[in-house]
Amino acid sequence: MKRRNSAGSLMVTLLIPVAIAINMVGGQMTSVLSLPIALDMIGVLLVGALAGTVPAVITAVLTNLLNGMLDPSWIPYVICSFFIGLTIGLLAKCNMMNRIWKAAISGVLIALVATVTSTFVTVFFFGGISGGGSAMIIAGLLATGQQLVQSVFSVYIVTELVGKLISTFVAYFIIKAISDRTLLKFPYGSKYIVRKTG
Amino acid sequence: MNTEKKENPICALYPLTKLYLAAVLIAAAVLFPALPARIACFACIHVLAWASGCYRAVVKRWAGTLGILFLIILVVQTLFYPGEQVLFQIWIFQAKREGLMLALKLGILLLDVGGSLIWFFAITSEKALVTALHKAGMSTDMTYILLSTLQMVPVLKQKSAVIMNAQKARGLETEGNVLVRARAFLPVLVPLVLSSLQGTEERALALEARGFSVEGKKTHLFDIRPGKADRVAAVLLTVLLLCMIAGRVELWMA
Amino acid sequence: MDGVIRLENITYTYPLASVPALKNIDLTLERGKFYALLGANGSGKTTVCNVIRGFIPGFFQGELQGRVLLEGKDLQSYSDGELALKMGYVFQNPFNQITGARDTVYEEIAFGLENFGVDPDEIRRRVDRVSELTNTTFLHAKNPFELSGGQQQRVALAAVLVLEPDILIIDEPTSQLDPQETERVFTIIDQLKKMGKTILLVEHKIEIVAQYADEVIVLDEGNVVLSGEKHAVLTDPALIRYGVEQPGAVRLTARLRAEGYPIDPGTLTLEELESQLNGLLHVKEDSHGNDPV
Repeated sequence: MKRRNSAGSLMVTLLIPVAIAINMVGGQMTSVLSLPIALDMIGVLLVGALAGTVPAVITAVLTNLLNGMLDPSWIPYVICSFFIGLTIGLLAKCNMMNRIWKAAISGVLIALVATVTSTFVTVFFFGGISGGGSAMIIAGLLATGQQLVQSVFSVYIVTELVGKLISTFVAYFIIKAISDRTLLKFPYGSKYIVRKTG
Repeated sequence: MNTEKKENPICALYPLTKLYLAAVLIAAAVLFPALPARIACFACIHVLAWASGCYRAVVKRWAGTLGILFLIILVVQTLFYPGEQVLFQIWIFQAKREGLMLALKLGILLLDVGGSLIWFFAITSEKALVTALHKAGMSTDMTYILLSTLQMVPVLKQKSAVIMNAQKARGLETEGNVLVRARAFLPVLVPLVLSSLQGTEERALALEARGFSVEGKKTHLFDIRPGKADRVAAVLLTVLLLCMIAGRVELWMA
Repeated sequence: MDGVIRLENITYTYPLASVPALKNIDLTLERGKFYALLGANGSGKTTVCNVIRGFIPGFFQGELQGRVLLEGKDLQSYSDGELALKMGYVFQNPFNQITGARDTVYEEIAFGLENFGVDPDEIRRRVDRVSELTNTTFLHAKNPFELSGGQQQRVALAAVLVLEPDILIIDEPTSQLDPQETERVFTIIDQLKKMGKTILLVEHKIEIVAQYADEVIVLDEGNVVLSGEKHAVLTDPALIRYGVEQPGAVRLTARLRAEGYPIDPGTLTLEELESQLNGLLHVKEDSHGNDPV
């Protein structure tokens, strides 16, 4: 057969722009609703769960660069995006997104990866202070005599745990709501189809 | 988004030439960490922005993002960085020379790197950049992803506003304490995602029906080509970059 | 005549499904004819289209038995590109057919030709020609996302026609459009028929089928239950059993003939009926006075 299933791989190509837009909308909504956590990675988690590491990394990195076009201080965090994309893709590959308790574990692992990488970026590129509300808390911790890395880490671990756990659950419930017929078109889709017995 | 002006000779350069110029500026800021060198680099970006006819737009965007970050870093590092030489004291806070120097060095580096990028995106249309990247060998799928993303983001943002208003009309609370506001998130996001995914299948087939996956050379109706100015600029920039690297090595040797 | 498209004993089951969506289908489409595919929801109309276009089994996976022949050759032996040039496919939802990667209608229509590496000058010629046919020239500078549904559908049609396929598969193109827009789209499809294209149309609006089609195929639960010349199929009383209503003119004709009026039993559209009734009225007026009845 000369033809490959090009329309099938096209589904992933089409999913990525939608996922990036979902990330952006998530980011916008957290600011419209003035929520104190970041929910701007839901698209990445969705792509990772449905299509694996490479598409997830592309989605995460492009979201970051797109934000960076308007505010370049986003760009160093591309490192975090890369590792978050990688992590969700690997977790999905190991069937870690198809049960709610597994999604919870995945959420915690992703939060840990996000915390470590963003602490690194904030300390290495910005000397520990980057924009946003966290800068003030970090400054406060520094004022009480805490070490820089510890201060940054302890702030991020809290915000990331809450943010990434919620994001992972949202992604999990969205996948639950996708029809089997659509799921089948994605590389990992069949992982989420509950086979009826009999 | 961008203030690209075709009649301006700098704006009229090929997108990749402009990107190269921005990269050389960034390289300069990174290679020469001394404060005067970084300030000089910052001055270069200002001159460039002015010469490109987009000074106002660049400074405005720069002030709203990096400018604020610069101030935060300056204040926090000056006051909290451990140091010995106290410059002055406000209430219980001591401003230290070490912190100030670190903040200036780091802050101006951020202004240099970020400023080059802001300048680049201010004078380059995304469409032209993506087309140039495609012609330089980026895959058709990646090109599609980039172009489609640029279209998709505003479309989905608009859709989310429509859904949010519809849900508000049905009694969804979007004001109140954090938990109430957080609960408004799902009823807006989930329908948005599902409706977007639903269309994906038909769009994949529609693209396929129009030969999206056909292998072989593609043409560009919206075509751009590097001109003579681009070749000259590329040579000059390469010479400049090599000189900078040579200078850096010499500084190390000394 | 062998036909441009032949389905030989096609049976197809979607993945995860227990019952086949198509059962032992044999079908021949002849070049230059306009076929309408009718049937209740879920009878397999779109599935037939996808089999013919080769999206089944490739994209949809599942299990396909039997053969599809395009111009006498097995469909599997064609490449993606050859199929895209031979068969155009217009889908139901106007919004979903926008590539999303072009910000003007002009480039949107040109998209397919760019994929085939056609020379830009030739692209411009073809886009202009097809825009005239589809009445989309005045939309050229607009963003495809900002068009009305009807305009988007005409752009989608133009974007497919620009590849100059001989065969067109059109799946309920007007299900989301108002009557005026529907009319516009079918005026274009009618022109395509006159240009000699082979057309396979899935359509619920039976009056439109009666007006434009040559042949009608009726599906029921994955079987071809009726097929043939449109007069024969659309006047067949069995139609209603397969969830397809007869055209209004056919039902009226049946009633009028039952009352003894000499109406042509092959009347399919209200226009045809109207002219016959006018004729009858004139006959009556002419013979007024002498009529013994």
